[in-house]
Amino acid sequence: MTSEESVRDALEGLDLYGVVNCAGFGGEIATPMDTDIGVFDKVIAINTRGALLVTKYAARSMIRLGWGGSIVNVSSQASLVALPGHISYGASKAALDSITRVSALNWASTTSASTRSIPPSS
Amino acid sequence: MTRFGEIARRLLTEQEVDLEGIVTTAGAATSYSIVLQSPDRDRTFWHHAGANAAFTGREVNLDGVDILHLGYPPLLPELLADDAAPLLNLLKEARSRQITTSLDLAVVDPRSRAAEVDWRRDLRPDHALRRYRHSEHRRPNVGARHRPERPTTIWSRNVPAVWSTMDAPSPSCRRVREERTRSALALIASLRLGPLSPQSGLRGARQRSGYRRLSRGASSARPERAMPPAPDSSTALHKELASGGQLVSLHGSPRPPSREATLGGGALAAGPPSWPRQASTDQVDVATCDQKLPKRLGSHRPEWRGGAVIDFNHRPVLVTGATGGIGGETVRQLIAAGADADRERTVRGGLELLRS
Repeated sequence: MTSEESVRDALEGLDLYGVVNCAGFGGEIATPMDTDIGVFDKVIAINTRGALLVTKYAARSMIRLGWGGSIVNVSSQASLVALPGHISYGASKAALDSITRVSALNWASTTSASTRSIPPSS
Repeated sequence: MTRFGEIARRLLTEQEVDLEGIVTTAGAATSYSIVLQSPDRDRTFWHHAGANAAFTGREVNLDGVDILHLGYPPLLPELLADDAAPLLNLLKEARSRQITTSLDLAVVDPRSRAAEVDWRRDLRPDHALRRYRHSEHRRPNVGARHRPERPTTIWSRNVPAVWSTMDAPSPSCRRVREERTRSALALIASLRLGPLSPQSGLRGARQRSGYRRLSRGASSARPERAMPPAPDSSTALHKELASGGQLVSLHGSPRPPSREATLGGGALAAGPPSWPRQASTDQVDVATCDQKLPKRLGSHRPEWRGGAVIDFNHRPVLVTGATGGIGGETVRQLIAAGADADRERTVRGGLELLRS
C-alpha cells in the first residue's frame, strides 16, 4: 500500500467498477508530546497516502472504461471530532476526507464516477 | 430533577429543542443507558428506567401532533400494566386522530412484565380497536371517529427485538438468522401492521409491510430488498436520524423532509412511499427500494447511490484491507449482493481484488 510502484503494478490493466479503500492502520494512542513520529509517518503512509495511490491508479481504469462507479474511502469519526490520543489516526483520516472531497469535485463534472467517504457509525 | 436531568435539559436547550412537552416526575431520576461496545460482540446495554418506569402515556398531549414515535415499550412497565391497556389506548387515541404512529421494539426480558404481554395479539390494529372500545382510559376523539385509521409502523432496527416480542427464539448461525428475519417480516405482514424496518448491517435497512404482498401467497414472505445506508450521513446518530427521516416520509406530510431528516435518513427517507392521509388499513402500500421511489420525494430526495441500485454482477470491485473487520465484511456483503458462484479473488501486490 505504501509503494507507488507496487500499487501501480497491481492495478495496471485491471477493469474496475468500484473501489473500497478499507486498508488502514490504527497507530498508537499518544499525546502530541509523546507521539512517535515514526508511527505517525506509517499511519499517514497507509491511511492517507495508500488510499490516494489506489485512487490515483484505480480512477484511471474507471475513467477509461466509462462505466461510472464509485470510490468509497472508509474514514472515521476521528476525522471529524477530536478523540483523545488519536493524533496520528485522526490526522490521517481528516486528510483522507479532504482527498475524497477534492476527488469528488474533480470528477463530478467530467465523469459519472463518484467518490465518497463513510465514517463507520454505531 | 436530577443533575443528569438538568444537563439533558441544558443540552437540548442549546440545540433549540422545544422542552414544553417534557414532563418532570417528582422523586424519579432521569432514565439513562450505558452502552458497552466490545470488539466482535453486539452491544450490551445497562439501562436505568428512572422516570420512564412511571410513564403511562397519559403524560402525552396529542394536540397538534403529527407523529407519535414510542421507543422501547418493553422497557416501560407502567405502559404494560393491565395487560398493556395504557399502551393500546395511547396508540388507539393517536390513530383516531390520524396521527402517524410507530413503535421501536426492544428485546423483551423474560423476567419482566413485558414478557407477560401478548405482543402478537396486542399489536393487531383490530384487536387494539376492540379493547379500546371497552376502555374508559381515554375519551375517543369524536370528530375523527369515522375516519380511517392508519396502522402502527413497527420501526425496529433490532431484529432480535422482533423475535423476542413475537415469541420466536433468537437464532445463532447466519443462515438461520436470515430465515428468522424472513419469518419475522412475514409475521409482521400477517398481523397487518405497518412497515417493519429491521437493520441489515451494511446492507442498510429492509422494508416490509402491508397486506398486499402477503395476499399474494407464501412467497411474499421474502423481504424486500435491503436499502443501503445513507452515504453522506455522519457518525453515531445515523440510525436515529434515519428513523426520523423515514417517519417524516411515512407521515406523507406535504412539507418536504427536513434537511436533517434527509441527511440522516438518506436512502431510507427516500425509500418508503408517501402514506396518503386518507389511506385505510387495507390500502397500505409496500415500501420498496427501487427506482420509482426517488420520484416520491421529487426534488427533495437525497442524492445517493447504494447497493440496491448498483448492479455488481460481473463487475470487478477492488477492496483494500479485505482481511480486516470492515474490509472483510465489505467483501462478504459485496459477494452477497452479487453472483456468489462467479467470484474470483486475486491477490496482487498486497491488494485483494474481488470480482463479484
